[in-house]
Amino acid sequence: MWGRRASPGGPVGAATLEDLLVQVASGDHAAFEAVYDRSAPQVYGLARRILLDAAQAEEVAQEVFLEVWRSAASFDAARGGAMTWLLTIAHRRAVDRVRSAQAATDRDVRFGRQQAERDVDVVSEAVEQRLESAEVREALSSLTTLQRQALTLAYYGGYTHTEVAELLGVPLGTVKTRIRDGLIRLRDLMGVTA
Amino acid sequence: MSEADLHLLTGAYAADALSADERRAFEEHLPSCASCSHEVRELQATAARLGAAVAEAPPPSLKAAVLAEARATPQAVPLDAARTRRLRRATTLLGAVAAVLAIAVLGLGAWAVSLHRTNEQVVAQAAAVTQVLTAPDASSTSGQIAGGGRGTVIVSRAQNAGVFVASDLAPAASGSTYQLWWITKAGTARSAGLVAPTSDGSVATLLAGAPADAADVGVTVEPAGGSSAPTTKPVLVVPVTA
Repeated sequence: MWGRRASPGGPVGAATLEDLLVQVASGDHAAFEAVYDRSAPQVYGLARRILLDAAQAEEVAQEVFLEVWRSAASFDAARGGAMTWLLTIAHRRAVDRVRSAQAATDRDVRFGRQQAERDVDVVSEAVEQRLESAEVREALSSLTTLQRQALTLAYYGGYTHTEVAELLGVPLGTVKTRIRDGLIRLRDLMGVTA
Repeated sequence: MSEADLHLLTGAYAADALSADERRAFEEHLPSCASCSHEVRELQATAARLGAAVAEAPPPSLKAAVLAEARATPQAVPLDAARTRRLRRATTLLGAVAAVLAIAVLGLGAWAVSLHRTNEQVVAQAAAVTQVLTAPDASSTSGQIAGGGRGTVIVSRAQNAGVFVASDLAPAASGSTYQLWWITKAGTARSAGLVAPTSDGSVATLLAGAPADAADVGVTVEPAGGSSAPTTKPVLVVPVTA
């Protein structure tokens, strides 16, 4: 399982990310450092992808890890893997940040449309350049164009489905179902279980 | 938004594509919809795969900042841990409750004999009380009763039954009675029977009906004969923990 890969080393090194979070919940700073080492590139990378700005991504990553430290005890392995938990927190925080920033600058749809085209390109390139995510790249490329655009704008762009509908010029109901259908297809292609 | 519409939002929710208001509405719906919850978990795990695909090394300064901040920050006590502690407290209480109950059950038997009633109902009640108390999943919570005394509720979800035990309970005023209630999270009360303390102020009785979705057990003082719904402020409310 991708999130449960054990790395060589001592007791901390051999523990799964799930085990480490349980240790963090009891106040273990060494375990927390190990969690950071194993997940910081994913957390920071995702925040950076959504926020684009490196300084803001760093701030969000710092907030995420502070939340992980404070609320590690609320992680429940029965409800999903540790990496899913971490990246769900990271994604939510990055999206909330980009939306509040957007509200402040009152970004209009015209700007958004250019942004959207750029986003779809950048996302495709970013993902395609990565050998280790060949599985994700292949799965994404098997979606319909509309599924892929709706999903990447929402997930990597941080747009609401209402904004995605405006950017792509399709009805909101269509966007809702394309995002869901797209994720379901990815789930099935990659054999993801909860 | 209709139920059917909410079901379709699992993907947008997992991708954080809902507005703040929509997200709130969906999260209110989520706990009551098992199929949505399951799908959300799977789609969140799927979305996280997309997230991990854009990993990028953070600046080295981030690690020092994060670790230092953790050292200076206390951890939150999660709800689950608080509940575990309450349960542990309740479990230690159970021993004391068992002692009280043993006496009460003996009293009940003696009362039945003293009335020269080989009262099957009383015996059955005593047996049912014992069964709840000795159930492996029995858990108890106690509280002070307004007006004096201490009440304990022991519930076994496996037996789908509960027992109310009290000590030093003052007799209800003339023309009134104590009434027990199962109370749901939404605040709906179902009668769990009437109860009167023995001369020494003790009570041990099976709660009428099943816990079902009850979140609390309450005790009120009602007109003699009881009420169909509580009419006074409860003298005791304790949570059902099992």
